[in-house]
Amino acid sequence: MNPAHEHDFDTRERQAHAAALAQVSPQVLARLRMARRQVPASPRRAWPWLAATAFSGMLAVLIGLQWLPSAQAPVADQPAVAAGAAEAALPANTLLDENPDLYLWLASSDAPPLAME
Amino acid sequence: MLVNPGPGTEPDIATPPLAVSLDQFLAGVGTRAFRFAEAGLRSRDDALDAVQDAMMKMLAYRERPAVEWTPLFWSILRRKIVDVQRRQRFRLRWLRPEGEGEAEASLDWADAALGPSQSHAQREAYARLVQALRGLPARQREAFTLRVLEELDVADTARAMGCSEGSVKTHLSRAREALQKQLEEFR
Repeated sequence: MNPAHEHDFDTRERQAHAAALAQVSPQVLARLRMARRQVPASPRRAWPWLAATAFSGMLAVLIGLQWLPSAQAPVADQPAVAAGAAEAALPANTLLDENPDLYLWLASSDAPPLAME
Repeated sequence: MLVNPGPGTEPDIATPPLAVSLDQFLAGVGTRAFRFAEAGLRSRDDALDAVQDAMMKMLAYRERPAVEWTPLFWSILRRKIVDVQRRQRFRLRWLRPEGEGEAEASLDWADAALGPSQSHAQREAYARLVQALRGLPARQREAFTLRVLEELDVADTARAMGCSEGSVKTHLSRAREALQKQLEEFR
């Protein structure tokens, strides 16, 4: 293709394109402006959400830590824990069956007044 | 100083001044991006959505040097347009305008500034160009639009299209040939 002809062709099409750029409707220009306005706002808007998420996460961890049993408690109650562990090792129904104190107490005179209360 | 690029090479086009902020860059490229998307998508709303998405994606590159924004933006927009075109294939065809005057009907055009006859002539000339561009394979359309209409240099066009500079020249040459055949008939 002849370079001069090529250059004329490019110039002509560029002019048609430039005219089209100048004739974009106000509605489209408004939407482009709106789209552009959203761009710089986005990273700034993300920070409050990130901060709020981080804060609520930390709060949840702190509350969770409050509910955890303290590390020294098991040391102080060691015998009780040992007894509890021994009882836990037995099956549930054998505890009642093999403890005569409960049946003795039920048969005693202390039980009916307590039940009447 | 202008340097003669030698025989067989594309003449380098004067580069516009660099934008100092991303907002300024997007303000300058907005209508151009819209026209590019409109030619590829045949729908004003789809074109605006693609441009808006591309602008949002540019946020990730705001820390990059301003020199890189132009090829990056066009590359993002080009990929967005391909995505929307894929989605459009699933839509019912009768929902879109078809037929002879499709290019002109789907073009956004404000008539207020010029006299009716001049504005009509300009609109017709651009509608013919868009119709011819829409008839080209996507790569040829991209090469012609970015290189000739958007006046990007070969290196930036290659970066925006994700191909070699040689491929850009091949696509551009084929696009020019096909467009000239179609558009010269009207003159």
